[in-house]
Amino acid sequence: MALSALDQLLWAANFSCFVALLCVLIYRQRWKEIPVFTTLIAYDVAKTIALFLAFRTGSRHLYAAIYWSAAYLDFCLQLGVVIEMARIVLRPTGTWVQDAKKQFVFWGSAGAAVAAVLAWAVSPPSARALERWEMRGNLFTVLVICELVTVITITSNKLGLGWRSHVMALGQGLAAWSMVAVAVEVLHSYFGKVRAFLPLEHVLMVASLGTLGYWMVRLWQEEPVRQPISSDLQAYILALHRRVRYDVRRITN
Amino acid sequence: MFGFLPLILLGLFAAGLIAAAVSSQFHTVKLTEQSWKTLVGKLQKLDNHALMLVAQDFLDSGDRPFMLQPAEIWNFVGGYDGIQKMRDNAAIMLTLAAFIQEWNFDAGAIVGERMRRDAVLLRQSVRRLALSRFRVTVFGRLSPSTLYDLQQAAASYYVMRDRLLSLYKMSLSGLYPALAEAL
Repeated sequence: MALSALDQLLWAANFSCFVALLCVLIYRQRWKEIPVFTTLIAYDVAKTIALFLAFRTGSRHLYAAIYWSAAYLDFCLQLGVVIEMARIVLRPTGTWVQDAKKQFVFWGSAGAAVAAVLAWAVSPPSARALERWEMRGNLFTVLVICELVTVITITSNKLGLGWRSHVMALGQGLAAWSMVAVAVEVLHSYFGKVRAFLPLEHVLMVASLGTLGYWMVRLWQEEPVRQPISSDLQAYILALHRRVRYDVRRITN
Repeated sequence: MFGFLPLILLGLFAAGLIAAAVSSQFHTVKLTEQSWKTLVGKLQKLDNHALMLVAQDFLDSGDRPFMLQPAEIWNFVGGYDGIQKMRDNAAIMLTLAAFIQEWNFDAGAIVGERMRRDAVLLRQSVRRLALSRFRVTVFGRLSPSTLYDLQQAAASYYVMRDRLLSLYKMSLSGLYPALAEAL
């Protein structure tokens, strides 16, 4: 297996950015706010090291074994990051905002079902069945991630929910990366691994570099300090809740 | 042709998904970047005293019949123009409640949640009123269900407005006068 100078440069740059981002998450203690995302980044660092060592041994089988076993966990962690975002944005007080859970689950499931059907239906041009299923799997993954991030954003906009700046940065970065990834994987589905595979992969790696850089900058910055709720205000809000329940019962009866 | 059908559908789905993703992200950033003054400037004036009369007649009626006549309710709400203004103001009030979260996250989130429930009732009423517009315009009569929706819309708006003003009075009293003036 031989890598071009560009491949090696992009791989090294991505690895460096993963390590730098992990350092930011640990040093600035963002891992307390977004633990699943921190786990994903740490996992990506470990995965890159393992794949690089496998590559250096020259064994295709070892490389493939690490690649395939890592891919499944990668998807699970990405899904975990999306769910972590949903919990922070759509559950600001610790319980789901009205209708938010229902909308998130409904549209998330519908989108995942459509993604599964489309990924299964397309047949990327390739002589090997394993390659076709690899491309279908990648396509399904990016469609689901892009769709879930969009559902969270639309739901929060409709419900008038604010975003904390670190979670907003996470959402924006993930949205931007997944949009590029969707476009790349759709083109892979058409061209297969025969034409334009490497240039498209390079585009995806550059998008990944941009996203990692954006996260490093935004997650380094502090969020606005939030005031704690006073006991007077807490008592007022409890009284307001009781009054609201009374008013809503009167309106709906 | 049919061999390409899955690819065509995939392309359409992906294009729609990317468009929705871009649009939703822009909308979120736009909402976040709007200044408080810009948002308050967008609030439309309504006859709050008249709306309060409709709301209180509806909320406090209990077993007794409503005191206001259909024509009075219609005039106090301001007709379809007033209904539209209430709906537009309600969306802005939700965003103004979210603003409080920057200074008092818990209070803003809790009261915002309450206001969202009121906004759902308001939107449902406005939707039903829009569907009945042809009948009301052509025949000039308000059916009992239309009357009910008018009252429910006014009551939901009144409760939302009251909640928001109380929240600002407690959390950001410096901005309260300007908000009260605008609302």
